[in-house]
Amino acid sequence: MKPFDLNRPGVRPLLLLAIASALLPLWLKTPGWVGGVSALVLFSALGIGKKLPRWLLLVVVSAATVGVVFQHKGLFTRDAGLSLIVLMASFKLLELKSYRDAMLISALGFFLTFVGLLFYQSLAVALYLFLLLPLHTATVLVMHRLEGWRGLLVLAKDSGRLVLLAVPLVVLLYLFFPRLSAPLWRLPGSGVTGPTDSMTIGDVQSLVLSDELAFRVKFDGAPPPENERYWRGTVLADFDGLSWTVGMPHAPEVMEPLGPVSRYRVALEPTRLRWLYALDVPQSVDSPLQARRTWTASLLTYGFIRQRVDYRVESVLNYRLGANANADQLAPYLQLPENGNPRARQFAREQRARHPDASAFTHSLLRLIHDDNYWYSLQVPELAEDIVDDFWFNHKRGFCEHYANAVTFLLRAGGVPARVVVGYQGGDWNAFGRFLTVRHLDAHAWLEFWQEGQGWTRLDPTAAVSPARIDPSYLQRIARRDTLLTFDDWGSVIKNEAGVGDLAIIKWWQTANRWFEANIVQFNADLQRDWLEDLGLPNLSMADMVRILVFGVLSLMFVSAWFILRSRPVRDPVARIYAAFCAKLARAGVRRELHETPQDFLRRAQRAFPAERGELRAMVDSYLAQRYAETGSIRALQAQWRRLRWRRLRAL
Amino acid sequence: MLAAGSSKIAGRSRWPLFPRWWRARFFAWVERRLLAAPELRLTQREIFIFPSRGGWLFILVSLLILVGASNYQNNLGLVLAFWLCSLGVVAIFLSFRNVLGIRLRSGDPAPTFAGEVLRFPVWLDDPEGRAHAAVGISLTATIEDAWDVPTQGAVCADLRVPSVNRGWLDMPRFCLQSLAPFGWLRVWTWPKLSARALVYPAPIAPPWPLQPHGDGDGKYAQPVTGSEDFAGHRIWRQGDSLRQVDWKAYAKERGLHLRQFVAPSGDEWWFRLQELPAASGETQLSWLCYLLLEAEHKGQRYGLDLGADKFTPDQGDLHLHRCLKALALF
Repeated sequence: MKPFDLNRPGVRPLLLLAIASALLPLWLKTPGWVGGVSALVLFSALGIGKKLPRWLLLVVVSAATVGVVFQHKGLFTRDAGLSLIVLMASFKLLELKSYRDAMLISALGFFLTFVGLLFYQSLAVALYLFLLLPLHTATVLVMHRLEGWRGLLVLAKDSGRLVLLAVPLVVLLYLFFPRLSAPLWRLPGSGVTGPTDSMTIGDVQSLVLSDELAFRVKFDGAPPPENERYWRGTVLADFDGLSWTVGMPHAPEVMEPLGPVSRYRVALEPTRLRWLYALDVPQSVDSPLQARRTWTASLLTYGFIRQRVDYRVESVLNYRLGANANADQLAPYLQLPENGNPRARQFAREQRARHPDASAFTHSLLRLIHDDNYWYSLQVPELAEDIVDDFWFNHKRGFCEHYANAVTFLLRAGGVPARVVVGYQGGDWNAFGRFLTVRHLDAHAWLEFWQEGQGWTRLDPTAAVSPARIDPSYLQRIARRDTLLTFDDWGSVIKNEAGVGDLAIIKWWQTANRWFEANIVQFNADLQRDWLEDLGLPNLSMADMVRILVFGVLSLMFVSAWFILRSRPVRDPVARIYAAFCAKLARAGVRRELHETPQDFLRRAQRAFPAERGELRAMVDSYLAQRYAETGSIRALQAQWRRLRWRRLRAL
Repeated sequence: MLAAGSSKIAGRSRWPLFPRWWRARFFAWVERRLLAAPELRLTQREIFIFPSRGGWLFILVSLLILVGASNYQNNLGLVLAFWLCSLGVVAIFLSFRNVLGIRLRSGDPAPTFAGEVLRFPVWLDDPEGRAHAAVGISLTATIEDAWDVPTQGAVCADLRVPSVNRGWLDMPRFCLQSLAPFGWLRVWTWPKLSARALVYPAPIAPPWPLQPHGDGDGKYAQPVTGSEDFAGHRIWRQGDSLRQVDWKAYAKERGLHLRQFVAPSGDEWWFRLQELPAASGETQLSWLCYLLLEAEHKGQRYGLDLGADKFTPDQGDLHLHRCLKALALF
């Protein structure tokens, strides 16, 4: 028979099924027409599609490519790439003509699984894609079986067994394979600018939309409550009318701790800047990348952060900072541009006249934000030249940096020393991994103002916006990463249905989801180190890990080689059962002599175990019938053996 | 007469990866290492394994996934990449296992005529009773035919060798290979079984017409007319021609009987090499081959005289074989 034949039963159907099922989740991530065309092409591959002339196919493929370019306005973005992969994979099935095509398509099945994993990070889809692996394996197997998918049970057993055989090696590689701490490249379209060390209105907007990881924190003790999680980055003191920059402090600010010290470790993704983030306010830092604490209580490294940096910080959440500052030191924090924003200056002076106390003054501003028609929104119209005036009196909508900018300006105009702080606020606490994840989405800007005797006090004007006036479109954009697309996150859907959440299976599923999120999706170099520490392997260097990996892989290869290659004669099932039967009797004390026929042996055994006479006779009869008379069935023998197998033989 | 030397096989094999001089060296080495035997069990000593084209593609895809997943810090992608790597490792052993332990035994090849394709039967089985999937046997490195070795059973594969010259044809070194079960790895070996097949001369019709009732002057190897008088029945014995079986009697369930004809001694056909018109030796033998076949086909008693060897007139497959063998080895 030919070693390979496309028309062998099962080859075409399995290839089609494998590709279609791998494409299914991807269709939901592409524009509607791409998914539709792809599904249609796959469907046509069952019949008419195979007969299309080559030129027509070429025309259709070109048209689809042009369509993708129009849809995504380019060919080299992430989404265009996805659409293209989906389309080309489906068209390839129309070109299934030779062994080479079939091999290519089977490899494509694995690759599409990977693409699916890139676009979905949820447990449900991951389970779906991984449960498809036996199908992809079966596709490869069926191509090289002369009988195709006849004997499907054997095929299923084979492909399932292969998936399991590979598991030990997967676990080993997962634990010890060194993880990259910084990407080698990024696709255009997923580019993230990251935080900057100046603030021009409009900068933070691009950050808010990115759910890429900024840093991860592990606390020595309990994490601070959500409203205390202000991650101090840069202190901005100089304002030129459009943007805030770092400025030059005059003297170090003295910090008096008023509460306990919070200790934690931060793993910061590369920022290409020099600022380390720490809970407000850091007391000391211990970083592999040399860093110091600046005079304004932020953390600055000596070099740019181009790779992931892992540092320890001690912070004091309750503090008094720079309380003894003199007029010289405070002067930079009162400076404003010579002119511009006249209405805001006027307004600040009036308010200050009404509230001589600095604290009362700031509170009046916050109350105004809360009570007046101020909105939290990402849809901010372009502001006029006097940005503070335009924002504060006309548009009244903006996000954190607009509020921080305006309030700092007003405070200064009212004679209160103030400065902008940029960093991050909040973060997702992961109870399973016991760490906090801060994403670029959490980027934030707030301010600090100075009071006699109290020093620098944190003030977050954005928090004063009435929750009713938070733009729903913003909420939706934040929520998009979780819930927008179909079965991306069943967990959140289920959570919304009150009452249903009590079912044990749903709870279990939610737990599984959280565990998955903490330990698989977010697994990285830090978690890897933690896991290895838990396994009793602390402080492994990269070289150690590679050594363990090589040694482990080699030994597992030896084990699997032994397992697969060991010489193990295949005996026919009848002889095997009879041998097991004899072995059982031998353990009970009646050993079959080599010259003994089954009948003789049976008589001896019956004398030894009179209680089991009938069972023993039935067993031997069944064996003899199957072996010599060729009348019994193997099933009858197996059933007989099952009855006898676990029975205790009582000798007389 | 060695039909296909190793260099010939090497020339035919299609290995894109290796240049010609390397192939020649490889086969010289194989020739020294894998000696001919009537029966051969494949051990790790004889088996080679290397990724096939599909295998390189698989490796490429796995690497792509590994690098991509590392870059995007996508742990699930990494798991997939690890799983593919592990599957690749398992595939190495399984593919190797698929060929390891096969026992090869040469069967008796049926004689054939020069210029036709000779089939050397090769019995494949496993003394331990294991199954082996899609094992191909061919003269070159491309698989043309494949066979499954069943559990506790044997399968008869055949090696097709084009025969060129008459005489003994030694079974050439051949390629046994398999891509199963994944197609990612080619597992192969170049065994040689000691078997030989007889190649009769190619039958060529002589330029004069065959005249059963000719003048019989003995100038050419003209058949002498024989009587077709029916003489009686004889019980069929092994080696008797099936053409003379009385099928009507057999249909009446009287057993296999031969219809025998009485042929007086003068009515036998004699083919004499010495009496053939002048031509090259090989051509003369081909003519004789044709005449013998024709005579057998007509159910005639015929004899062959090659000078040294003389076969008295007779008929039947066995007689024909004896005569043709004498021609083949003349």
